[in-house]
Amino acid sequence: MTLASLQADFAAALLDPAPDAVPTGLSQPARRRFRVYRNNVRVALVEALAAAYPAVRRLVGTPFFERMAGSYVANHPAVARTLNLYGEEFADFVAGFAPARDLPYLADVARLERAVLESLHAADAPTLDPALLAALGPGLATARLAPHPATRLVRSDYPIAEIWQANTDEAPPDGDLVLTAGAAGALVLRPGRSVRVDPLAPAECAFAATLLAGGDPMAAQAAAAALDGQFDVMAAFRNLLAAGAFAGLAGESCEGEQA
Amino acid sequence: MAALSPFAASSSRIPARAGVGFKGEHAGTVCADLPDVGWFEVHPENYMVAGGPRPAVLEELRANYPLSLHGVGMSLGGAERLDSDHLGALRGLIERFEPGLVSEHIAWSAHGGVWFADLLPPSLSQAGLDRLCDNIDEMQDALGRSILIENPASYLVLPDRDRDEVAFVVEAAQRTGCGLLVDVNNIYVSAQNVGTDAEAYIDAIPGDRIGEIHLAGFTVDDASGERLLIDSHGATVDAAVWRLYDRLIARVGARPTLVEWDKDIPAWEVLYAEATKAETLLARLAEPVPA
Repeated sequence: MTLASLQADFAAALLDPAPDAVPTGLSQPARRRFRVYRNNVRVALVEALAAAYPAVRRLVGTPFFERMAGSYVANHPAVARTLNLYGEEFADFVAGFAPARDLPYLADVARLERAVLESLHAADAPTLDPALLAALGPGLATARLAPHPATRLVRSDYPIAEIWQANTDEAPPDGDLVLTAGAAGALVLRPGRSVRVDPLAPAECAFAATLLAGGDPMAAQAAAAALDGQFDVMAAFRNLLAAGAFAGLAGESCEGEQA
Repeated sequence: MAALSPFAASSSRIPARAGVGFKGEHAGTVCADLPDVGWFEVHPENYMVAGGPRPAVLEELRANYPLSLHGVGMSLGGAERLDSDHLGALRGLIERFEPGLVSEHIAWSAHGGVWFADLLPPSLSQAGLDRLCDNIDEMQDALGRSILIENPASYLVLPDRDRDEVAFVVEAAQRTGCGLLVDVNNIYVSAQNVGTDAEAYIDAIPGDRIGEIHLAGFTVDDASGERLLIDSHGATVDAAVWRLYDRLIARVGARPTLVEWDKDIPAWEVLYAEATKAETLLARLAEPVPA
């Protein structure tokens, strides 16, 4: 048996969904002990998901989460040489996981947690200096802004930001869920070293989504006003800028390089 | 333009003292109190991210302590060539954090585009040795520096085994010019699991090749009716492992010694106490032998 075929067999047995799969050619005691490796591989990936999706885990309980994560892991081996961003398709998997269908918001909470994870590890970049916008004068209405690499927007028909907030590890176990009416999404930001999640009302969500997609402030205002005639565009804009949602003006080369 | 290294205050060199595996859970305590620890070690894979708090905290740590990068993802014992993306990512971290030591396992962890996130058993055979040496050469060439290689914890014997593990790792080091990272817990765990002789293993390692020593705790697994020791890094160092460590350093002298703890992370004080224990044994070597 060549080195390559031995490892190919070993790898195939690790990936085999049958729990008693073992590589060919192993002695009897080695066949029995193969389960240590099989278990290590599975546990490493399930633990990576548990760390990345704490609110989903809290919502369904650890035993249910481990079954769901185990089922994902069995069909989604890691490709990168680190598990920092493992679980890219977990939210889609949750959406199709039949035993979880009584919790219709669960997949959106998973999408939000994925956005939080991506935000946490996203590139560092300076945030847009509001003075730069002020200097544009009337040109501001048609300016295009570059999102900060750590900014994410997650749309949902459910109040996912509040659900997430109430189910983080720091939240009290039986805390009341405070819902804002007509939630439409969550804005994920990374001011400083930690990630922040803000709930967005429908008009705020339309405003932020338009800007983050490269639309100009005029288009963003129109999108928001269509949903809420009383929408305070300046307040919403100030909030986004203060939270560091943008890195600069679009088309500008990286400010960090220029400094 | 040459920039002043942010780590000018602390040298890169890893001292022959006790070091601690750095965990995010201890970042607040360590960065605020700057405890008297010789050095820290991290898995570089955990810092292979674009930005955010992890590399920022590591920079803070590095500004105050020498750092060692201990890889788990290179798959040196793999039948396949090394992954050039992974090598590039490691090179980037080395340039940024200027580690005093860079080490990897002789295990394999990747095959056919899948990374298993575990240390899989290397083939202790001629073909396994040749492949390992080629991979070490490639890694050392790509990084422009020599590395240390670590012995694995074994749970089974592969069918192609034709030599002792200690002869295997020593020959790999001699052929490639790399150093050895001696994991004493792994030697003990393997001896219990596959029936090798831990003391003979310890005594056979040439001291001049040893660049670092690892200590960790194991857990006992008897789920399948036989007693297996699992290299869990989730407990204090066992008394038998301390005895082997003492035996090793009494022969070869003081070496940088890492206390690892990766599961069920305890309070910083618990880990610090383990490091202090190693430090006490190392310090005793420096004392004059009573007449």
